[in-house]
Amino acid sequence: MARQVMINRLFMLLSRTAMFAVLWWLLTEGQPGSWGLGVPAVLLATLVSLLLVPRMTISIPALLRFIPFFLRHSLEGGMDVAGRALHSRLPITPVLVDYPLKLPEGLPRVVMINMVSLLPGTLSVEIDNDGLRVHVLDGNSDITVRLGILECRVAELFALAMTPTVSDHSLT
Amino acid sequence: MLTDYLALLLLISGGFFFLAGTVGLLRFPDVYTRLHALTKADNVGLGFVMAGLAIQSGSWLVAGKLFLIWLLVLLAGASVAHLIARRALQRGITPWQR
Repeated sequence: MARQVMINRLFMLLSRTAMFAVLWWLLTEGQPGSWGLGVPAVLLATLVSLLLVPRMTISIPALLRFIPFFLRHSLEGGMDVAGRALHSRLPITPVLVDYPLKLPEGLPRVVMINMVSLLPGTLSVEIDNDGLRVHVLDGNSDITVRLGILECRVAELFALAMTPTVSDHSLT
Repeated sequence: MLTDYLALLLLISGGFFFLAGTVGLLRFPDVYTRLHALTKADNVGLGFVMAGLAIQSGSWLVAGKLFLIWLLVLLAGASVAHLIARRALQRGITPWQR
């Protein structure tokens, strides 16, 4: 048991160090001379992240599935809003929608509100204990269903168990 | 040669989305709808521009760096849009309705 905890901690330490090292490598475009400064910077960043960012599980398969999902939907979102902006009659019917969030507080919710703003037709406006208030560009779309799908994707990303309930259409 | 054309196509697509986002910013009726135009059209536009520049650079490291910049802009754009929309609602600005 204690050994498993040790292994987990070691894995977290190594994966974060590797992440910051890759970041430094990219930022300096791989210049070998930069590592004199880079090594202490990476170690310091790892230390700070261990102090500030709690341990979390990110599912790599879910992340790999999330990337094409995100790219496809953000392209769709960009084309949607571009089409509406350039359309002569400006076809928008904005509404505010309250969506009850089931995701736990912390990083999963932060990821969720940012994704909502980047995906088609939705903008996160307010978040509190009751849930998420979303500004929707096209009130005729089935927005609660789409938010439900997104929420499941985010839950999957953090390896959280969640059952999809998209039955209540709380359109306001 | 072919990559030059591909890069050109990507850069022009990016420019189109920036243009559309700006048109949206000017034509949309209120702060919330304008934020939609900014967060979505500009992010896609920047994505295309970054992809075009990455191809032109011919270096995986530069491509990775450009990708990193895109991610940071996405994060900043989404966070700032949320903060502006939240403040607007708190100040009692009601969303425009048709």
